[in-house]
Amino acid sequence: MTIPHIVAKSLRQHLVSTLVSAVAIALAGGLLMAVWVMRQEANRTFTSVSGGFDAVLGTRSSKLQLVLNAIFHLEDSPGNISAEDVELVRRNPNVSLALPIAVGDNYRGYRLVGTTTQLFDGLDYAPGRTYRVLPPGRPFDPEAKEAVVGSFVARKLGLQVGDSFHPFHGLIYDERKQHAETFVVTGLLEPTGTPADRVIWIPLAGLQRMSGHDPRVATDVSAVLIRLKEGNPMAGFQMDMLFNKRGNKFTFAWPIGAILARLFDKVAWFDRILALVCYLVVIVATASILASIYNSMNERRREIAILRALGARRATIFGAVVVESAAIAAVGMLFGFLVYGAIVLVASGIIRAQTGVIIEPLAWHPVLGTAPAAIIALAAACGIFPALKAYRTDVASHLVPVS
Amino acid sequence: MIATDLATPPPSALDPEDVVLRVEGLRKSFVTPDGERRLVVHVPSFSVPAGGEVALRGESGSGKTTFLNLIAGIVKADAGSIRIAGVELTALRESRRDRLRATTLGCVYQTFNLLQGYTCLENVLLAMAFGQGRDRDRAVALLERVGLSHRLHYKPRQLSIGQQQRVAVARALANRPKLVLADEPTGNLDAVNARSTLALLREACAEEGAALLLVSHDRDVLNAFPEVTDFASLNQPREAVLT
Repeated sequence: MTIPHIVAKSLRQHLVSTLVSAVAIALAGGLLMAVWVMRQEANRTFTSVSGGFDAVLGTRSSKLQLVLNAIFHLEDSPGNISAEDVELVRRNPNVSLALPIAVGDNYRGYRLVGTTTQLFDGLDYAPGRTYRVLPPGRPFDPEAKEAVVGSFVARKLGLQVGDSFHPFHGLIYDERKQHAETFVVTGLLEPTGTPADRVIWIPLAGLQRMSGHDPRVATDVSAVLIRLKEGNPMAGFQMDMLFNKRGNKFTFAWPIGAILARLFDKVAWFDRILALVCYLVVIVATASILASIYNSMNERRREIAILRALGARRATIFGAVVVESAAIAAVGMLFGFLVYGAIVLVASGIIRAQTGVIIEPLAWHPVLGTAPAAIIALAAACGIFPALKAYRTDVASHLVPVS
Repeated sequence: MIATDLATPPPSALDPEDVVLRVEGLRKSFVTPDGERRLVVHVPSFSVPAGGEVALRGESGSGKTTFLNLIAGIVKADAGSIRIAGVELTALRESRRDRLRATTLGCVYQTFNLLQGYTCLENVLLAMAFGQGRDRDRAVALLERVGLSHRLHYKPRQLSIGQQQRVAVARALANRPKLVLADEPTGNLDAVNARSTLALLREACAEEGAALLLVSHDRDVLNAFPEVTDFASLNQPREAVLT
């Protein structure tokens, strides 16, 4: 009980420097944990988001562009494919579902995606979770100018069942490019935590025949989302061979997760630099504990001499300084969790707004245990230097004036 | 009033159980900034009877503080023997000396040496923590004994000088020491506080059964003791030959 008592007293006696060091640790530790968790969660989440599909077929382009355009609704469409080609794909024996999508319009910055009502026919985007229209809404009529609004868009734009809107041409909102058509909201999509939440779903024909669109390509689509037949492990390879190796008209983006994983691999160097910066910040923060304790050793020496005169062993003094250093880091890490929570909440909000992908901000991750432990251990190690100085304190010369 | 050599009977004249401190052939030297080794303490023989009082008169620079630090185990002797309550201090490694100091000795200093961040009660309790264990009731009783029952939770800077030295007296007695070392305990006090603190120290030591070894150069303080030993007569550094 003696060392904790001495440490608690010392922390209170040096309250300002304790708080400054603890805040530095809090910021550094919170940042480190946030970067680590967001990096891993983003990687895991993005590579697992497929919207319930195995592959995307589009015109000849990069696989990544196709996936980002058709699954994440982020990139421009690389081009169109004809209705005949869609039929060809649909009849392929390896395909169990081919869902055409068409893009090219928006409503106040949120993308309109034309598709068929197959999307709402029990299609699961994750095991046991299907695209559903919230009651009392209903899916759109494929022949009518109706829309089902993604949950994120509905919340942001305040759209409700029965509301109507005029789409705007292009994927970027420009109020001068308003279409004449009026679409009526017939339903709101149940939140999915996928990019489907941040688009407005309308009938395929509604988008294809929008005023101002080229009537010569009125039956074309932007891409086909494909679900492969189960039971044939070679289905994907065969499709890959058919469209990518033997032909040069289409690009078959499969498997979706692996394509996203390659993207993360390509930017892994940036991850490593970011992690390195975080490590350096942590080292600087723990070094600040060392500096603050070390610099205060001169004023502490008389106190140390008194403790020694009372019977405290050198090891007790050494241990008290090391524990004090670790305690400052521990206090800092308590606040570090608040910093972590704030950073992750903001970052996950931005990711959701930009991609529709939900990253669980407060999920447990092993680094939330290992990072604080490592930082506290590092701080304790830093405490060894001032502890050695305390250990070597000469009692007689700091205790009483020599008579 | 002042008697030299009278307080220290020959070692053979005292039963070992009657002696709480016995010093023989004690030597301590320091290297000066000039690089010269200077013998500061050379005490051939000295003892303090159990429960007794010994007052040493010594001028500034005479080596009496070093002598007390040697007895307290704060400074390591070059040669000689220091037996405290039958334990040979010079044979102990440092951690055992620390333990012996915490459990067997109490110290009162001219500058009080109270921990400024601790209350009066905490100062006493911390001394107990290093010694025989925290005993809050005893700590409170000791502070009541020195007249500070109404200042238990005051910090040293909130007390008068005299009150601070009384806290130091209570702390010195915290672990039921067999010997209390007092180094100029009234050196920073005015005459009134000096008299009352000295009386308190002697009474408290007597009540606790602790021997008192006091060093001072203050004639008024020394006059309070029936016998006073001149430290210069004990310490003979000039007669020693440095080896």
